[in-house]
Amino acid sequence: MAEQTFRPGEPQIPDEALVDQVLQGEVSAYDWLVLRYQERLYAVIYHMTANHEDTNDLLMETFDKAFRRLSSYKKNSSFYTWIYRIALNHTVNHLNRGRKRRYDLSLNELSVDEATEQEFADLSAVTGAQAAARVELQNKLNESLKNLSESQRAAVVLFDIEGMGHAEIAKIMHCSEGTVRSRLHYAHRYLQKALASWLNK
Amino acid sequence: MNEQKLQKLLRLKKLETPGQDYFDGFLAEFHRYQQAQMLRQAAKWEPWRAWFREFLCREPYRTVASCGAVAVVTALLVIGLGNFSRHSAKQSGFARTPAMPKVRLVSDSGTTEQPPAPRYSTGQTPLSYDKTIAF
Repeated sequence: MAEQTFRPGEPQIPDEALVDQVLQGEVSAYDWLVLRYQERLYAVIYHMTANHEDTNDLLMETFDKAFRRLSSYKKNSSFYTWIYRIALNHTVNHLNRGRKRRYDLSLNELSVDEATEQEFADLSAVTGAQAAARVELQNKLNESLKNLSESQRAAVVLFDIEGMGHAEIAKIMHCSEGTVRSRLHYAHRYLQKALASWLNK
Repeated sequence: MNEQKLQKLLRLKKLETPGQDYFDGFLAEFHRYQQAQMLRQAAKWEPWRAWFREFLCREPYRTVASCGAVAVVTALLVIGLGNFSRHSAKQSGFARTPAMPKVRLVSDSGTTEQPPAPRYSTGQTPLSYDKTIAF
C-alpha cells in the first residue's frame, strides 16, 4: 500500500476514523473517503472492464454500496481492503451478468502522458512503423487481458498494474496466497504466449 | 526476460487515466447520483402511498379503516395481555392450563401398530347358553 498523501484541507486521520465519523452522523466525512479512493478504484474497475462508461457507473455504484453498508464494516480488515473487495465483486458480477460488455481500445481515448508514449514506443520500436505497432500492441494486450477469466484478470490488475502484494490480493479476493500465485502464474503464461511475437523481439 | 517485458507492459496500463478533470468533478457527480437514487427509491413507493391516501379519504372506507385499525389494536392488546398473564403465571410456578397428555401418533412409531387380535375361547359353552345363569 502506497504511503498516504493528503489533499489540502483533508483531515489527516486514518480511514477508520473517518468511517466512525460517518457512522456518528457526520455524513460529509464520507466525501474524503471518496476522494482518497476514487482514482485507485477507478483504475481497478477500468482495467477489469476496459470501458470508461461502465467504469464510471460501477464506481458510483461501488461508493454508494459501500456507503449503505458502512455499518457492516468490521475493523478486523483495513478500509481499503474492504472497499476494494466491494469494487471487485461488483465489477465481477457486472461482467458475469454480461450487461454491457464493451471492450474498447483504451489508451487511444484516455490521456496518456509523454513518458508512457515513449515507453510504448520503446517496446514496439523494433517493428519499424512505431505508431501502427504501438496501437497493435495495445490492441493485442487489451484483447489478451479480455480473454483471461475474471479472477485471473483481477489478480493481474491488482498485482502487475496496481503493484499490490500477494497477501493483500488474497485478502481482497478472499482466497489463499497460493491461489493468487497460481492465478498469476497461469495468467502470465497465457499473456506471454499471446504476446509472444512482441515479447520475443 | 519475457516476464520482465510483460510486467513492464502491464505497468504502463497504470498510466491510463481519464484525466484530472474527471476526478475533480467526480465527487459532485457522485452526490448527484446519490440524490437521484434516493428520489428513485422514494418514487418507487409513491403510487402506492397516493392510492392509500386516496382510499382512506373516501367516506365509507374511512369508517371501515378506522374500525379495522381499532380492531387490530384491540386484538394485539388482548394477545399481549394473554401472553403476559401466562408468562407471569409460569414465573410464579402456577400454570393455569394443565399440561396436555402426550399423544403418540401411529406414524411416529415407525411401525404401524395393529389392534390386538380378538381372542376366542373355544371348547367352552357361551354364557348365553348356560342354563344355570338366569338373566
